[in-house]
Amino acid sequence: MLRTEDILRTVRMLQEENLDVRTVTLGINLMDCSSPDIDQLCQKIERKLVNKANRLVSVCNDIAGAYGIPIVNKRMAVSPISSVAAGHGEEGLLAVAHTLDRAAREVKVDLVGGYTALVQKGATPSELALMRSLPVVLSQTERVCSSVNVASTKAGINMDAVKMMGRIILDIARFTADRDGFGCAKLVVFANIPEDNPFMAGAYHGYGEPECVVNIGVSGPGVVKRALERFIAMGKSPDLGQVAEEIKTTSFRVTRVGELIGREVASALGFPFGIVDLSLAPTPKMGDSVGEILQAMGITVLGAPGSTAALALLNDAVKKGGLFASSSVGGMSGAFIPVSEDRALAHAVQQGTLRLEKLEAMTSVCSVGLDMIAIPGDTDADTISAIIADEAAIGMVNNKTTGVRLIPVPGKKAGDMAVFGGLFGEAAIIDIPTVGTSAPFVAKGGRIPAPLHSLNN
Amino acid sequence: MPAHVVISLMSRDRVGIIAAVAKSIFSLGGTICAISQTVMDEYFTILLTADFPGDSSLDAVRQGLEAAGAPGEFHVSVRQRESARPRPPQARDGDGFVLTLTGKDRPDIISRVSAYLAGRAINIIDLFAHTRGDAFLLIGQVVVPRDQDIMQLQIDLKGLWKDYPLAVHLQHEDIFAATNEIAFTHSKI
Repeated sequence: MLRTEDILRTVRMLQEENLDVRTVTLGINLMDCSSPDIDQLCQKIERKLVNKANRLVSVCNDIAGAYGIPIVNKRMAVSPISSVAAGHGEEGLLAVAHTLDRAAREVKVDLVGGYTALVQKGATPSELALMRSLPVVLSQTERVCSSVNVASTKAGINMDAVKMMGRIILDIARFTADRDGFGCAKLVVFANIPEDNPFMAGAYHGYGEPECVVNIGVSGPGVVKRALERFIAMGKSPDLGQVAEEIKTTSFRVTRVGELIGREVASALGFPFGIVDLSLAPTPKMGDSVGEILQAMGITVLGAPGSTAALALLNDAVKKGGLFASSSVGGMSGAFIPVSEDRALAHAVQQGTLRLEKLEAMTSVCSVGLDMIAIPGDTDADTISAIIADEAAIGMVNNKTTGVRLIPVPGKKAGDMAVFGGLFGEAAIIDIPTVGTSAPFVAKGGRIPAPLHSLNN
Repeated sequence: MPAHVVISLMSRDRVGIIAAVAKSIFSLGGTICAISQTVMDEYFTILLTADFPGDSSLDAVRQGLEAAGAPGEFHVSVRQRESARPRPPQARDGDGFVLTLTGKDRPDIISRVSAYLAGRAINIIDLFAHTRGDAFLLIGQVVVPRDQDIMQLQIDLKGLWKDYPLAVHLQHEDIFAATNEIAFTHSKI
C-alpha cells in the first residue's frame, strides 16, 4: 500500500516540478541497406526508417497522455553512415543525408543521428569522405545530426582527424553563416563515443546494438533543482552530504519514471528496451538549468572556485540514484553543461565569470564536454583542433566520454551574442585566450598513444 | 460449525483498545482472521473478521466487546459473514490508478467525484481524505475499466470544478510504485 506522503511527493514531481521524459530515441540498424547502387541504397534506407519508425511519435504521444508525463523529443539514431554508404563518395553521402532528412520529416521526428565516422585509430576513405561532406550536409539538411569519434582510451587520439575537424568546423560555420554558424550545433567531436546514447547531436546506433532498440533520456535538471530548493527551504541547513542524498533520491525517482515510460514505448512498438541515460539535459527555459542547481547548492557566481566540486557532487549523486533505480543504465549518464542551452551558464559566460578554462575543468567531472560554446568567427582552425585535442585528452585519460560542440560565429567577436533559437538557445561568444598559438603542435599530426591504463587486460 | 462474523468497533482513541478487543474475543473462544484499523481525527475505528464456536450468538459477541471498554465507550456492530473463506483472488478487470484532489475545500467534492466515478464504472478500492482549515486533500486508489479513455477521464475530472482552486489528477498506479517502491519490477521487463 502506498503511503500518502509518497503519493503526494510523486504528484508534486509530476505536476509542479514538470517531470518529463527528455527523449525517446529509436535506434535502427541500417547495415543491411548497403547497395552498390546509390539510388537503391537511399530507397532501402528510407523504406526501412519509415517502416520501423512510423508509429514512434503516435505511440509516444499516446503513452505520454495515458501516464500524464510529457515526452519532449522523439528521435531516431542509425548505424554509422560512413559504413552504410561506404564506397559512394561525397556525392553519395550527400544523397544519403538528404534521405535521412526526408525520412525524419516523414515520421515526424525532430532529429536523426548517425551521420557518423569512428576514426579514433585511423580513417577509411569513406570516413574521410563523410568528414569532408559535413559542411555541405549540415548546411543543406535540417534534421541530420553528425558525430565524429577522434579518440578513445584504447586507441589514443587521432591527431590527423583532430586537425581535419578544426578546418571542417570552420567550413560548416561559414556554410551556415546566415544562422550564426548553426550547422556546427549538429556536430559533436567525441572521445569514447557511446553506442547507445539517446541525446543529440551525438546519438548513433552502435555496431553492438540489436536491429532496433528504444533508448531513453530522463527528465531535465528542473526536477532536481526544485527538489533541492524545497529541501533547503525546509530550514534544515543541510550539509553537502545531505544535499547529495536528496539529489540521489530525486534521481532514483526520475530514472524510474523514465524507464517505466521507455519500456511501455518499447513494448508498444514491439522493439527491445535498451537503456536509460541519466544525463541531466538542460533547456533554455527558466528553471531547467544545471547552472541553477549549482546555484541552489551555494555557488552564487558560476565559474567561481567551488563550481567544479559542486558539479562533481551533482554528477555523482545523479549516477548513484539512477544506478540503484535501473539495471539498464547507459549512454552518457552525467550532467550536461551545454552553454547556450542552459540559461544560467549562458548568463555566466556573458558576465565573464565562466570562462573556457573553467568550463574545460568542469568537463573532467561531468558529461559531456565543451558543449554548445559560441566562439569568435575569426578563430583559426588549429586553435579549434587544439581545444578538441585537450578535451579528447580528458576523455582518454579519465576513461570517460567527452565531446566538443564549438560554434565559430562568422563575423562576430567575443562578447557578441549568438542566437540559435529553440532548444539550442543563445549565448555570448566566449573569449579564447592565447588564440592562434597552437599551429605548431597541431601540425605535427600523428597519433597520441593510448594511456598506460588502457592496457587493463 | 463455527460462527463466522464481521465486527466493526468505533471509539474515541486511547492506548489499549486493540488489547481490550483481542482479549475479549479470545475470552469468548474466538479467533481473529483479519484486521483493518485506523485512527482519524482522534477517533479509532477497526474492522475485523473472526471465527467463534458454533454455539456463540452475535449478541453475546457484541455485548462481550462493549463490556471490554468503559460504559458507552465502544460502539460495536456484529454481523454474520456470508462466506467464511475469502474468495479466490479475481483478475482485476481494469488498471489501478491513483486519484488525487488537492485545493480549497467545499461541501460537494466527495459527492461529485464519487458520482462521476460510479457513472464510469470506476471502483474505489481505497480512499483517504481530510481537511485542514480551508485546505482539502483526497487520495483514492481506483480501478479503471480497460475500455475507458484515460485522457478523456482526466479532462472530465479536471472539468468537474471549473474556475475553482482544486487540482484533480488521475495517474496510473505504476508511476507511484516505480517512484516509491525499491523492488518495483516493471511488467514489461
